[in-house]
Amino acid sequence: MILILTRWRRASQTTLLASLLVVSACAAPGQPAPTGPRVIATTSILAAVAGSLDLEVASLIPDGVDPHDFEPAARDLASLRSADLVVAIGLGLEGSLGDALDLARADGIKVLDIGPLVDPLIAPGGSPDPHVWTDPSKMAIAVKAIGQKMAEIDDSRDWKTATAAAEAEMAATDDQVRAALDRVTNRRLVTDHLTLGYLAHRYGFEVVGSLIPSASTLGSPSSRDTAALLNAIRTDRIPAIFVQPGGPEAFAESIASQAGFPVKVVEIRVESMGPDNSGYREWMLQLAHTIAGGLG
Amino acid sequence: MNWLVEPFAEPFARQALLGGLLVVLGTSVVGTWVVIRGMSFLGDALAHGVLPGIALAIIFGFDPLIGAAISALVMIGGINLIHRRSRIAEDTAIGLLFVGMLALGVIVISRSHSYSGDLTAILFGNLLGVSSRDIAVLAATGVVAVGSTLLFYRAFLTLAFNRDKAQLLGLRPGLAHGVMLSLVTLVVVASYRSVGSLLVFALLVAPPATASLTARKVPSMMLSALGYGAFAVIAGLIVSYWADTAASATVAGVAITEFFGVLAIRPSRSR
Repeated sequence: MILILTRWRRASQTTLLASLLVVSACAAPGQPAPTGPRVIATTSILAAVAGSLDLEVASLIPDGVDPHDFEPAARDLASLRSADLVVAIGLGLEGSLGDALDLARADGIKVLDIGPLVDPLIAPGGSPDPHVWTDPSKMAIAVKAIGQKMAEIDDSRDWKTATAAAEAEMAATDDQVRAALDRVTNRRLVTDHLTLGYLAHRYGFEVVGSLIPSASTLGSPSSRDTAALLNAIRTDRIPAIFVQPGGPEAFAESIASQAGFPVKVVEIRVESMGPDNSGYREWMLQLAHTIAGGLG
Repeated sequence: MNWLVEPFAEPFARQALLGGLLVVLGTSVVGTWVVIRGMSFLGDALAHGVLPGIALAIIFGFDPLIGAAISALVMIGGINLIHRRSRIAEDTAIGLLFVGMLALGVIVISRSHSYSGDLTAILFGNLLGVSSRDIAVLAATGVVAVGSTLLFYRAFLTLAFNRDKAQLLGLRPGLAHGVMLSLVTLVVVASYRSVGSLLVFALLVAPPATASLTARKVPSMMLSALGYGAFAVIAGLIVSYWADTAASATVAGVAITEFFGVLAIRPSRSR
């Protein structure tokens, strides 16, 4: 309770609004008093990555919600401000939540952006691609950075051992994903928006294009983009278009039907864990198997 | 002439062209009444106020067209209620409902734990993804819009220019007003899915407004609006292809540019 009160004071120093938010969070049901350090990740997959350090990590963006246009509620902002560490992707992935993270950072909350640490790829258009989590080797760098931050926050645990275990987990994931994707012969990818750049780079695939030619869902294609995409599908005889749940499925079906040969529209989960959220390795393997199945 | 043909080489582009032209058929006819009667703000409010119904439809898995129609009815009902119970000006009533519905839509979408990437499609649309089913819906809408205008022409005309006279002539201006609102709703709701609410509203207002600069009588206004709208769709798709710009937004942009172009070159009218 003292812990909560000191946090309350910290927040109330900033703005009246922020303090009100924290009051509402304290009164919120279903939030047990934290025993260890409170770690929050922005997306559900990032929470699973941080969770591989044997940590209890909550995700701020509900599972299944598009991170690009997520609007944080007052309670989300309050839980941000009561966290000991917030793990984010950065590089613009979190949309308007990014602004809230900047504000929290300015008020002294520890926010760790993973994206800039992992040598991000440059998306077509020139800005860094934020979808770093589809490369387990990049997530090994992420868990190391999270482990270092945790060591600063909480000295009651052996973070070196936990970090080593998490890094080993990422390496094992990397091997298994490589094995799962090994048998795929047509190594060309078409997606709803540009989500698989890192996976392609790591495992030797080529991203031919996407329905929305942008690293964000908040774009709209030109007639030329769509014509070029359709041509690429025909030239390379690409057998599948991968679309996230709630993505432009009807558009994908329409393009698939115009290729002149059978093209499947396959559902993939790239930006959230989905209902079966057992862990990062399981999610990454499921993604690999879905891609292999779609192209195979 | 290759620059004109190549943009329409693919089936999706021809589908987009056909879909866009069918949207124009409905919006030019209905939009002419909207512009003459100064109901543009209501049209805008309807185009964006359908959001909560669509969001609920996506969450509960019923047809978004039904959701959008329910939203529109709630809006019009609310505006009428304010009109009857108070002396508040109509634009204030529209503003209240507009912002209320939009806020409700965002709340519903934010509460739902579902991937909401489609929200962008609702607002800005994707003309390039028009399906055969969309074409059928748009064609039916166009027929209803043109048919109703022919059927209610005298009533609409009197309502637009002299409401009191309409009452005297027994043309039931209340009923005519209701039919007109239903037509606006129908056009907006039927078109948003294929082209997005931004483009529906652009085509509802811009071509008839451009036509009002050059045509004096209602039928010639409708025909010129049809021409300006069709040109916006064709030119917009060609520009989108060659300049590599977002298709729906480019068509909307061309429609607005036409207005300013005509405004600039027509002989200035003495007031």
